[in-house]
Amino acid sequence: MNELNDLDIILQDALKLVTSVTSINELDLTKTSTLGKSGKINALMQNLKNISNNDKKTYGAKINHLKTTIENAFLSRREELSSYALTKKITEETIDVTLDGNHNKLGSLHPVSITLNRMLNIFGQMGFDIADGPEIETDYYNFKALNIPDNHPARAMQDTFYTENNNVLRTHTSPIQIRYTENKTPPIKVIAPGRVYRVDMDATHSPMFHQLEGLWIDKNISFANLKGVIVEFLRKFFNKEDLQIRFRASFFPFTEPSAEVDILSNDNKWLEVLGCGMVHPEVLKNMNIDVNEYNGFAFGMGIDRFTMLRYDIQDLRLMFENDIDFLNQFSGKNEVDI
Amino acid sequence: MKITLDWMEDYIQINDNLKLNWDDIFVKLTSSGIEIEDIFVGNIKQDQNIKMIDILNAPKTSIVIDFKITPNRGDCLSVNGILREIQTLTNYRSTYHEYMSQIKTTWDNNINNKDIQNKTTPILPPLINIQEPHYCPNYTAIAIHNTNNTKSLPDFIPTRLINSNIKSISPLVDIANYVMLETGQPLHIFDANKVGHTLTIRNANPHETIELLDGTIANLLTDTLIIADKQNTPTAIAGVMGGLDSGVTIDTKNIIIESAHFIPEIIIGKAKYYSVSSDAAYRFERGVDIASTKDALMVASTLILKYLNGNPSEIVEFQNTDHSSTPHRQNQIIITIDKIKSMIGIDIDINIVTAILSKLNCRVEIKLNTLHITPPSYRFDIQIPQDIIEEIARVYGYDNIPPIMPTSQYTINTINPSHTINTNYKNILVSRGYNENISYSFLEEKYANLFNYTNVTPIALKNSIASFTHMRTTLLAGLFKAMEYNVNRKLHSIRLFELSRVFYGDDANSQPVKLSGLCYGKKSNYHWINGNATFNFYDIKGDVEAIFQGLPLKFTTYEDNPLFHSGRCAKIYLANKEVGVVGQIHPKIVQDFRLDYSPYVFEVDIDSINQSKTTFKLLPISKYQKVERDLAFVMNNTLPTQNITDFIDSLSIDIIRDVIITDIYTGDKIPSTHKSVTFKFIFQGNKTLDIEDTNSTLHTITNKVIEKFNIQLR
Repeated sequence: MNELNDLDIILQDALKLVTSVTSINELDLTKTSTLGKSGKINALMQNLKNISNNDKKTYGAKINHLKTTIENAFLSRREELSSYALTKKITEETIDVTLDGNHNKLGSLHPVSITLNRMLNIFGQMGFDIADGPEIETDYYNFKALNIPDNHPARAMQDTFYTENNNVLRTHTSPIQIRYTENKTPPIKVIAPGRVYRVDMDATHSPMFHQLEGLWIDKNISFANLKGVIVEFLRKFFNKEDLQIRFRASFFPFTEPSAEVDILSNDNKWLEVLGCGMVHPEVLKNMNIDVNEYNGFAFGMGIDRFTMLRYDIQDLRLMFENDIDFLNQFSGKNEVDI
Repeated sequence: MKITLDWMEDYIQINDNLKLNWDDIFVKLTSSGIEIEDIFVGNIKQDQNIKMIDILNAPKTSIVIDFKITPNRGDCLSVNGILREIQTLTNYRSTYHEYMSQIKTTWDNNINNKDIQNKTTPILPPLINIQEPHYCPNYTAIAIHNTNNTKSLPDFIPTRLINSNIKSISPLVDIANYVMLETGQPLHIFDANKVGHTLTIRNANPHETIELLDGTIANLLTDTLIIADKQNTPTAIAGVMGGLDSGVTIDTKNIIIESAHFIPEIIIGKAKYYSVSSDAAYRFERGVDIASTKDALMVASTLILKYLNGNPSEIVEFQNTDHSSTPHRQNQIIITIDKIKSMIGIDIDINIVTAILSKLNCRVEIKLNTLHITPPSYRFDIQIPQDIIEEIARVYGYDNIPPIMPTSQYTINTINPSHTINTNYKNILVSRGYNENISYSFLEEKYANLFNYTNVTPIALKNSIASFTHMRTTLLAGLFKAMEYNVNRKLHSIRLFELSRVFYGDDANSQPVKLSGLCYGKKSNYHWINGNATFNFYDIKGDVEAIFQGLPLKFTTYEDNPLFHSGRCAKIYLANKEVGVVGQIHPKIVQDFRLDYSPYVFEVDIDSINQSKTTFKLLPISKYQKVERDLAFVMNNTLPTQNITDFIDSLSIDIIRDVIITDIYTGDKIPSTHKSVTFKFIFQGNKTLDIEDTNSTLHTITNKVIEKFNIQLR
């Protein structure tokens, strides 16, 4: 039967045509011309009525098969072409992903702020409130209320900055605690961070530095409790549960008994890190606390010193030069980093 | 205080069962408050971790221990004092007491022996006239004649002095200093030929002066206790320093030695006031044992007679028996055993407590559960029950007290708003590329004045350090200085901020917290995308708006301030209250500092802003579509666009969700004095808005704006 040979030729031609098409638009046009109403396939279908009844069934099936095969060829060619187009688009759009991202570089918190946040975090969990206060203080709040006698060397102009009105740049943050406590009743748990000032300037002293002082007043507060809180704080701060800590007897006018606390460094040296003690009864009286009913402990530490220990900063002067090459190294650092 | 090892070893009893272990002694001294600050071999400071075994081959005369003595422990400022402390803390026994007894016995047997006195011409003791017995409750003195201040002392005396940082001056002075270091009792030697036979202890009279041993001429205050000679002329400031005229010289033959007790209250502050440095004052200020005057005098006299010869008088001794006007030292302190236990926080046995107290030479009487304690005369620092608790705790050993977390009523604090909010501001700035700055609160006068844009008088310091003479009234100066520092280090992309206090006055309410920022140079440090763009006003203003996102900040032009570019500076308002400033630094300053770029800065008053914050209220979310429409107006360049948006805002049109300026055009198509401003209106109603609604609203706005500002729709 001649018609069957013709079908095979038509199929081969159509498949060739599909493969030769290189764009989806062209493919759609070709598809219409091949399979549409005026296409060859449709013409074959139209021609079916002229075929003898005997052959009609076989021939019809052949034409249907032919049509399906061509349709599938179009479909797969369409997929091929669209996949190719995507690949091409992607290739064309390829960029250098190793170039720097287009964001503002991140700035940085000052390491002292990061250290302070870590301290506040630990003391916050112990239930300490945070208090603040003026940096230019009266003699009363900075010295007298803290049981520092008139003739104490700390009051000398060699040690303490005075304004022309005879107020002082606070030499510790203890005045905050006096102000905070004056109008409160125990239990009192408060920490007071801030800037303090002393007339001293060399490689290991800055005329301005940062302190954090703490105070806990309640019934039955003992020296052992002071040790408990300090030990807990230091181990958490330095993230070292077996940190070696030493308490040494010392002297401060505002505490009795008093202690200085050392930690054992990695190179086996004792480093002094804070001072503390049981609040002196005269100071408690100045805080309007009933000394027969309550007692408490206080402690104070240098935030700068803890910062230097935590980040192994050797020179205190680096802390306040605000060298951006120094500051940038703290970019992305935060208080939970170890 | 520096003491050589051999000096202490002279008075420590050792035997075969108890070898001297200095390392152990040092650990105990340090942990109980007498810190070993340094150990020297000769002049060489040893490593902190040095053990005595490491320097055993060094001669003990050259091993120097530097003790750090806290101001409350004046009793430890001597060899004897350190030995007492060692005896309290360890099993070693000090033999100093025996040595002293032996001196006394010898003195009584030989020197004070009437027979000997009778054999030579008796030397008369000085006459002592004490007018202020409450300041000087004990005064002993001796005269020694025909001594020889040119003889040499055995090496150990000057060597020990020099190792203790005391200069060797002459044999007599060296002995006085040596005895002071050994006993803790300061001595003074007068040249008897110069002061005569009578010494008067009195307060200085008005207008009296004295030339002191170090050459200082002191104009005496009447609250100063002095020693006057036979002419009643001041010849020493009591307990501080002797006069130059009455001091011993190499030719001195006849002397009077003073060994007196001056109470700390009359000495404190005097050395500082007269600007002299004195080992005697240092000790008297901290308290010297009233019981040591005569002992020290005998030791000194014994050494002088032994090494320098001489004929002594009897010792003359004055003691004030009326203690009514003298600050009372030997208080009896009463404390219960329960109080000791609860303050230390351990269940300490009463026998341990009394054993510790007796090691401290305290007298203890136990009445029921109460201890009545009399501290020894040399302990000026034991006055109240807390002092007793410290003594017990430190001798028991701080490290033997366990750390115990307190059991306390648990209180929950409210979140500290200012700390949290301030941390938030900081984090926003950090995320926008700023480095936090911490600069000094004081400034050089130049910077204090140049940056004082608020025009308050900066607080001056009486005693400045370096050239920091004034308290800052703005954080901008510190940021500018930090910028300068970094520009000098060749950085050209700088963003800095600081959050801290400034000072308008001394009182607590005049020290507000400010937040300030500074941008300088390029937006990025050589980035490959637009890496050369430099900061402009709108960059820093955007940072300010970002920090206070959600707050209705308003800006008005701020002219005529010498710190700022008058055309590029704005005051910041919140709820009609001025809260800050943002702007470009004045070009004159940029020129003067030879800067390549203009710094942009802001400073806001954090306290005011935090106080103005109102309660947050969530708005309902509309389900209807938003409609956007644009309007462009042509107006004079000088008209602030905020005036128009404020005006539109004041119309209170309820379907306006937002008005945003999306374009500013200047150019050929409009007059050169004018700008075209495009406003984008975002409408949203409580129904779907149709074209009629939006058009009529736009129409209303257009008419009112044109009418109000006399400008044209483009």
